[in-house]
Amino acid sequence: MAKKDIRNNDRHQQILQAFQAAVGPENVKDNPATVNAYYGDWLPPKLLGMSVPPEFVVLPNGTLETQAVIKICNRYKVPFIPVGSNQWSLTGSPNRQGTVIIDCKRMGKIHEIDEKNMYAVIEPLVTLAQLQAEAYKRGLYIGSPEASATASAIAGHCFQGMWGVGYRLGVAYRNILGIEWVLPNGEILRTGSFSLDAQNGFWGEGPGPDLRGMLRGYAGAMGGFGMVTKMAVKLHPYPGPKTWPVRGTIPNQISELPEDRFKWYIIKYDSLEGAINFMYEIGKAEIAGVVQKWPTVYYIWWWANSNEQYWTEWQKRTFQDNVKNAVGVCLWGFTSPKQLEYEKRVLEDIIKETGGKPIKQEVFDLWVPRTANNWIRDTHGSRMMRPSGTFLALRLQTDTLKYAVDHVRQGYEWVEKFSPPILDCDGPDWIGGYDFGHFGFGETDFPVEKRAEDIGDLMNKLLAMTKEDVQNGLENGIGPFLGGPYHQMAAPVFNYEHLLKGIKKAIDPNFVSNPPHNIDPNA
Amino acid sequence: MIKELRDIVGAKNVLDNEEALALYAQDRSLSAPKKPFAVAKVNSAEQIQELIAFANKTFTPLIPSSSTIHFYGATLPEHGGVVVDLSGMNKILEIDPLNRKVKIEPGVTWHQLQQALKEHDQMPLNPLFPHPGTSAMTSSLEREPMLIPKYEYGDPVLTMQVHLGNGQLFRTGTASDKHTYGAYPEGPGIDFWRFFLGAQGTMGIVSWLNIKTEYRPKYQKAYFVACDELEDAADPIYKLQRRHIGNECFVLNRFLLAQLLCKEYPKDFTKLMDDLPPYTIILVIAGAPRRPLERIAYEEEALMEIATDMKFEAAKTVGGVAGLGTAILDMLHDLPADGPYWKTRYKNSTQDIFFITTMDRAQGYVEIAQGYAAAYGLTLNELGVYMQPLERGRACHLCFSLPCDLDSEQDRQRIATLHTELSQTLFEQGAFFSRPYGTWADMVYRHATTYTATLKELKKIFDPNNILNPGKLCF
Ligand SMILES: Cc1cc2nc3c(=O)[nH]c(=O)nc-3n(C[C@H](O)[C@H](O)[C@H](O)COP(=O)(O)OP(=O)(O)OC[C@H]3O[C@@H](n4cnc5c(N)ncnc54)[C@H](O)[C@@H]3O)c2cc1C
Repeated sequence: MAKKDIRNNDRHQQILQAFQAAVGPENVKDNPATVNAYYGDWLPPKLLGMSVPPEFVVLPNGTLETQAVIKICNRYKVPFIPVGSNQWSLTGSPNRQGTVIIDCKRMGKIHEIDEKNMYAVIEPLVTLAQLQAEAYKRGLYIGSPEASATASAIAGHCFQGMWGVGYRLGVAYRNILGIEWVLPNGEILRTGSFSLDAQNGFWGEGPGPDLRGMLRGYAGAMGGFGMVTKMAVKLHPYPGPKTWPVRGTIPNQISELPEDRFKWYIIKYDSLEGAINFMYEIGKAEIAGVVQKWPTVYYIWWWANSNEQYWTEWQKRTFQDNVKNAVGVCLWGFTSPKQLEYEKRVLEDIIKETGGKPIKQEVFDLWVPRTANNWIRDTHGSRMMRPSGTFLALRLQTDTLKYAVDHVRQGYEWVEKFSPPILDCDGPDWIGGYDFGHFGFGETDFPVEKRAEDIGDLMNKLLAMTKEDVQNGLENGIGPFLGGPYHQMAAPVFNYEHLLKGIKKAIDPNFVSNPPHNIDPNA
Repeated sequence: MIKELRDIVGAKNVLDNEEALALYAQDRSLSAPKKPFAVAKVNSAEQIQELIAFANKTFTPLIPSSSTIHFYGATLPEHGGVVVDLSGMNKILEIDPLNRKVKIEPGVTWHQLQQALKEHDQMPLNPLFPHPGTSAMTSSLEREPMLIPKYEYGDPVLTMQVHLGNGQLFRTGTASDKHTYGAYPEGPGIDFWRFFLGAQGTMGIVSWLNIKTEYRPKYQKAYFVACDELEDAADPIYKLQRRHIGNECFVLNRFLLAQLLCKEYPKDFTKLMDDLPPYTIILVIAGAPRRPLERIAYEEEALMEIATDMKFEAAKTVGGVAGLGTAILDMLHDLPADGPYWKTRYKNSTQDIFFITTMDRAQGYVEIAQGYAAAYGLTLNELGVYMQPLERGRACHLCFSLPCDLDSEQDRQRIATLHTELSQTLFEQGAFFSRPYGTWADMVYRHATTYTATLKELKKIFDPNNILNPGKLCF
């Protein structure tokens, strides 16, 4: 029997007409070819049958059209999801029938770059790479996003924001300045200096208590608090060239930054504790631009040009035998070449005192020119997908660096327990500091076969682990990336149920903004 | 009611005699006195919890107060009620030199904190020479600007324990997970901590706060740049901050710097007013824990190079003041435990107007302020100007100080009118009053309509009976 086409339904037609009136007929899509492209990609929801295609994809242009769309969603009580480039398909794909995807494809303006006062005002389609390129031209920098460079810069700031240079330039929550934002109830909220002057987004806080708090969290509001249509974001001083230097063609491109301003070190320790102690000392000395303790898999994920090359090199153990417990440090001469010379002397003192050893020169030469500078340019997280087409993580805790060590160790145990389907990954312990080491994160990332039964099995295991963690009062940092169902479970334990449900109810009375994210107020 | 209060905090900790209440009914601002019904001096988190339960039962306003001095009317009870005096909770609960943070109670002052951190070679990120009675916690929560703009961050707040008006005891960030060190502001849920900053005690009563500390330099040099106008200071600071040069960096005009430096009033003050330039950039170049002198050397060299390029002089003093560098460094590193407040040497109070803007717009605001000040009979030599670059110079805190004799009704009235009118004009010209105290609240929230409406919705969740400092902000 032929499946009933929802498009013949009266209610569908009514809503369609309302959207068409609001944004123009060409900007509303309900044909199967389009809607089927909007439900999940690299993460398991589609694979596991957890998400359904949306009923509409609507493309508003600007804040007022977005407001009109969200008001229609409220009138008809249909759920909507704002999306940027939709990489985070777990919360960017519908799990309710009748969902409306609000795609930002018509909102790609960079409204302003204030070079002197170091900020840019952007719309949601502007990608991290695009903004980075514009910033370079002005001697400025956005931080290296560890998501894909093609992700929406606004979504990247709202959603996670663990920058590759977070050690020096902080976490994304602080890089957000003024915001223009359509709340789930259709009201336009402007925060920071935008609240009093819609043309001037240079400052993020206030007035008074800071409503930016609603948008962020470990994994942000997940589209559960409406749609940001304009955001002012910080730019930072940058001593590098105005265009990114490259030689060769993709995938064999090589980048070299000026030697009088940048210098990489990769220093190896006998233990993870040794590596972290080194990171603490660097932070205390207030030197360096990038400080990362990458897990072995990161070296090869970022280096290999293909799945085949990945596994060939893995078999040779080039990285496993050389970079275990190594810390990558890039010194930056912000002030002058002399700063770089000073920092080299300080770093070399620290290396000597802490018993660090540079990794083998041939491995350094293999890795650094092709890969290291990506951590300054764009990081390009999608390279994590090379070995298996997907990746997962089971711990992502942020607190002190010391805390990170303890928790990646627990992460190892879980990885061991869940292998297979977790693939060989040599203790996936990614640790990075923020704000000169005032705090830091530990994350355990690993490749996993992109097969429904493997991922299904692993997801169930991860969920059971997360439940166990929550029961033990432990925030494992991964749970929040699941959105609503996790908050439902964790909120009573960490004592934020009343507050989060209260806020959600207040600004989303019809529960239309990406249900069940970020919490179901009625559950 | 008094009996219930006594049961909660102990008889000796409840003040209800006229004399005591009169002290809490006014502050150093020009706000009209507002008497509380009683004052409860608390000394534990449990007592705060009980007071909140009592207040919800009896619909009694609670006005949290941690400092022993107040300048902006924020602790005056608009609708009566009980002042919750937290100044006695003044323990430093934990110093964590490894992660460079400290956990403080509400009554800890900047001086106390600075002294305690010294032995760990650490220092707090304090604002401009705070009054000895200022609570380090309130000052951080209220986003008073740090003197050091070299970090990407503009406030030192990490995590806190807060008692909500709805009776809930809440911890923000990772402090809500007992396994952690409470070092990271983002924790389970959303960024709740943001709602307690700049809140004037209306969203919750904070009983401890974790804030960042930094290395206390052993070697440093102070440099001074004389400027005729504030705009002459902006470009050098943009450049210095962009190149990551210096620790403390700020601008004071002659009137404020003379008050800061004068030891004997009026003798020194008059001389300083004659000698000092109209504006002075104060820049401290500091050594790091390792190879401190080498760091000073390259920063100094870059400073001199910029000075030559931009044609300004970075000198060891301005106006021929002897020992200026040492004096400033001593003051920075030994905040006074008591004694007179430097900003009140000229008259017994200062009525400040402050807001956030960018440095390239600061001169325009100075001209507006000077025009208004003149119209109200303040000479150029009586208007204080302080510009604090924030976050590597991307913005600045600009503050105008209007001296006022609180004992003279005529002066009070004159300065009150000047304060209101000047604030209004600055606001209309785009000055961003991010911390809207007193009458600024109306001015600001009337314009920020959805922001205001949303804040009110949040307030209903955090403090449904509006018992916490009612009448402040938009509540
Ligand atoms: C392989 C990989 C590695 C990654 N590694 C990192 C990392 O190391 N560090 C890091 O910080 N991040 C990392 N991420 C996550 C990354 O930050 C996000 O995937 C990405 O930034 C989101 O951008 P997007 O445009 O794809 O957002 P989307 O997937 O479109 O959206 C993400 C969420 O934000 C909501 N949203 C999107 N746009 C808006 C808007 N305008 N207003 C309100 N809500 C909106 C959506 O509803 C959704 O819930 C990684 C992702 C991948 C796929």
